[in-house]
Amino acid sequence: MPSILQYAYMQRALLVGCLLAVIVACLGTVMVHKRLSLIGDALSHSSLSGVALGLLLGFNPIVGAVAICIVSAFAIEAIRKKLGNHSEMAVAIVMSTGIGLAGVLSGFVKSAADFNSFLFGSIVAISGFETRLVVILAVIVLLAFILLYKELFYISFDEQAAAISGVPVGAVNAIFTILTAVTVSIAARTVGALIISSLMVVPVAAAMSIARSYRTTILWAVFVSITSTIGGLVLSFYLGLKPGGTIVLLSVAFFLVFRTIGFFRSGAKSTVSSKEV
Amino acid sequence: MTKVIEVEDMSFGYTREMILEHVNFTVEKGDFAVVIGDNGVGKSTMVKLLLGVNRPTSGSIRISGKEVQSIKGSGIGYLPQNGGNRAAAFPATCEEIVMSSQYKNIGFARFPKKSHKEKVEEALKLVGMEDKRKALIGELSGGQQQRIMLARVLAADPEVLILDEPTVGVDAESVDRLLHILHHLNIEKQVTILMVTHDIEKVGPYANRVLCLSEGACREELLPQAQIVHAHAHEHAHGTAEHVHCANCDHGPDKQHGHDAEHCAECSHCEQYHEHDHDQTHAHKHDQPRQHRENDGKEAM
Amino acid sequence: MMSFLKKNDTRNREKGNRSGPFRRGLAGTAALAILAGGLSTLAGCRRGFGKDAQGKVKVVATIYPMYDFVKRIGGDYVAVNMMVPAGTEPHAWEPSSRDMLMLEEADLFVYNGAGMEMWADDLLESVQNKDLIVVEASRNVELLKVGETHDEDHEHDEDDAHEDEAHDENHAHEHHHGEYDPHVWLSPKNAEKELETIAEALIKADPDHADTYRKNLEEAKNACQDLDRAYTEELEKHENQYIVVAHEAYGYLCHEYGLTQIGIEGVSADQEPDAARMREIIDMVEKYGIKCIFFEELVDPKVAKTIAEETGCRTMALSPLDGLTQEDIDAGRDYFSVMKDNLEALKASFE
Repeated sequence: MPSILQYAYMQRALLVGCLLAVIVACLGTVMVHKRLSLIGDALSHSSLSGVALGLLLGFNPIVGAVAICIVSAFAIEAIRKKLGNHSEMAVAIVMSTGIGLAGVLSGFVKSAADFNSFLFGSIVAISGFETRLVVILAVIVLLAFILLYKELFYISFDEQAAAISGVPVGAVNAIFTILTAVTVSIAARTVGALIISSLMVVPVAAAMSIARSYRTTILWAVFVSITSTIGGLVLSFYLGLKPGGTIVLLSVAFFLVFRTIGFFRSGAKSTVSSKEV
Repeated sequence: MTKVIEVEDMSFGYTREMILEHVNFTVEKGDFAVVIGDNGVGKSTMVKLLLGVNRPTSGSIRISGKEVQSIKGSGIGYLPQNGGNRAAAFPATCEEIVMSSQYKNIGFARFPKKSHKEKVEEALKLVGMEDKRKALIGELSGGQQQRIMLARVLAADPEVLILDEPTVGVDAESVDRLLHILHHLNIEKQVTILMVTHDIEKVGPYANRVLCLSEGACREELLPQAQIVHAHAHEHAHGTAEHVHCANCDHGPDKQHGHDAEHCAECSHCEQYHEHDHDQTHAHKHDQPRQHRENDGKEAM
Repeated sequence: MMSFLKKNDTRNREKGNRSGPFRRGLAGTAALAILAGGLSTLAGCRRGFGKDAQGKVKVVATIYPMYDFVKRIGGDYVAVNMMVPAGTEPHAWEPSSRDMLMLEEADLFVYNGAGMEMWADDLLESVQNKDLIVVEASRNVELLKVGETHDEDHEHDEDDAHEDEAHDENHAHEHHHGEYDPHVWLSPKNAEKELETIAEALIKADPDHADTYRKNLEEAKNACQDLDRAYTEELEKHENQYIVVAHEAYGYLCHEYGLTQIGIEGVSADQEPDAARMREIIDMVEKYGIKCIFFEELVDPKVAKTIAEETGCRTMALSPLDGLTQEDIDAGRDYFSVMKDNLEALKASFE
């Protein structure tokens, strides 16, 4: 049986996949608690219009994608605040705008190949440049996440109280909005939009079913995310399954298993606590 | 006595329509002030203004002598309405939640030290929840969640405690417990408390001030004309007696001015309080909180 | 000159099937996509036969090789419109209502067949134009099944041919019955047969200029024979060599000149490779000492580049000719020049 690690493309897939799995799971915990679960989906779609814009106006399409992603993410933040209880609509509005714009702009892009090549990433075809980019990105995101862990917790838990306590809510939100936007735009191009938008939500949902604290929620989410990524790549390598779909389905399997465990556990708990009351 | 909260000729409206107009009141150090009033009269808006979340359209709000906007919430502890409910779905332990308010002490982008953990432990003990430090907030009862939220506020050592309807959706036992804790803080630590509540029956005995926020006599009009009436029901430490005086009363305060407490007997908000007012001289059902207050006042002098 | 539409309102959906969310999202904005098509029109792209088409045989050709062949034979007596816009990978393209209108005006509809244009049957069924002469250019070509490069006898079956190209998750290097490789024109001998079929139809549609058409056909056939000679001469030395290509489009070329193709993707160019397929290709590249990975201009070269990087190969463009870009057409490139470039690339890849 051939070894996974003897192939450079698999080494890269594992490295980049795991790094992205970690940071996407971290960003996911932040976004899920802001009720912006679909932000990954929305941003990866919106980034298409940035690619089209870049190709049309003659600047680097990746720059275009990152720029549009950042603008979209801030638009989501702004609309979210205005909509209050219906904050999830902010994601839909921005996503629609992005896809619409991409649709119109792509009509003007001359070569279809150019457009395509900026749309789709594949985890088994990652270039050296992309690898370096993801490593740098991962370091920045992780550093920000660890340093601002306390602030993020406070904001996620109770944004108003955090603001009253003097947390620079605007700045922290802005930092993570930018980091999320940059991560999604780069990751969608590197490993594919499917993996990113799914790993932003599913591992967090799985983790929340069994975790006993916020810290362990993040750790479980990272665990599920990494295990799904590695598992998906291994299955793809030996069984010839499509890597993106396999990774996503594995994370969903984790969710179902964790949910079941959580269900039985909380079932026992709730009978006890109802007696207490 | 130092003035902790000073509201001067303050008006506020989200649009050109004013929700609060020309509001004046002060809360002094060690006061336990209760804010009552009809739904929609602007109580929660008032709280947001006191917290510096919203900026007054005109007039000023000062906390400990500084403009509320400039202090960015330092020294203010805030317990929101149904604070626990909102937290229930959040996957965090009680300890983690209480720790969050240590933000000011820990500092931006820094990590908690042992002293901060001790502070958290202390706050948990204060609300009697130290056994639940590792429990998920969602697994607690409403009252327990409320106490955790209070512990979070207390861990930040507030000078002023602002509570918005803390008794709503909480079982009777927990309400007693909550009030007991607040009373303790008020007396022992001289924490100034301002509480918005409907539950004057329960809270009343612990308070020394009642502020009635109302639309006044012109309730039918579209523009609400709010006013604050000072209501020092008891002899304050200064010895100045103030009357319960409710502008919300159907009989109208002006007509009956000078009739003291009785004139408001039919006003739903003040009624309970007045009843208690009369009880005051006879017996105290609630471990005689007022007695403490008066002693305390003397000591403070 | 005719004016060709460069854009198409289904453009943004092409190749959208690599990623679920993308496809879903993009399909969901069909209305905006149509708007995009509309705007393209405003931007100066015009579809349909213009005034200068008057008095000429109006021909709609589906893909680039058909377009080129028709022009070559028809010369100035025909007005040709290419249905699949330049620069578009044709496997996932679909016609719009505007293409239907164009067909109503046309005298001749030339398509490759053999499953290249999966939509052709539906299209022809709904066309009202009774006088339209329909030409399936690959009619007389002996079709190969997908994945075949060696001699096997196949009866041409038109019904089967249309079922070709069905999307399949399995590797295209496996055998699938009843599925034919549509890229017949990549063998000059097949191109000759397609040219004959097209010439026949043009003569039928416009007997007045039959002599010119015959003369042009002769010239084109000679060019094909020259091309065939050049290919035979150059590739004889490299018989039984393997080539790694972006998608398995080179079955006829390989069959003719004794090569074997290893496709990164299947016969249709829009499947994401999996890790196992990548491994197989890398292993084969090392096993057979392959020095070059070919990519296509209309397909994302990422995968080809990754394999090249892994194995230390070069990458080179090899065109399956199913769609030239507008730039290529403007630069005067055509079937023969691209076929010659392909030969040069193949030659270079073995060195």
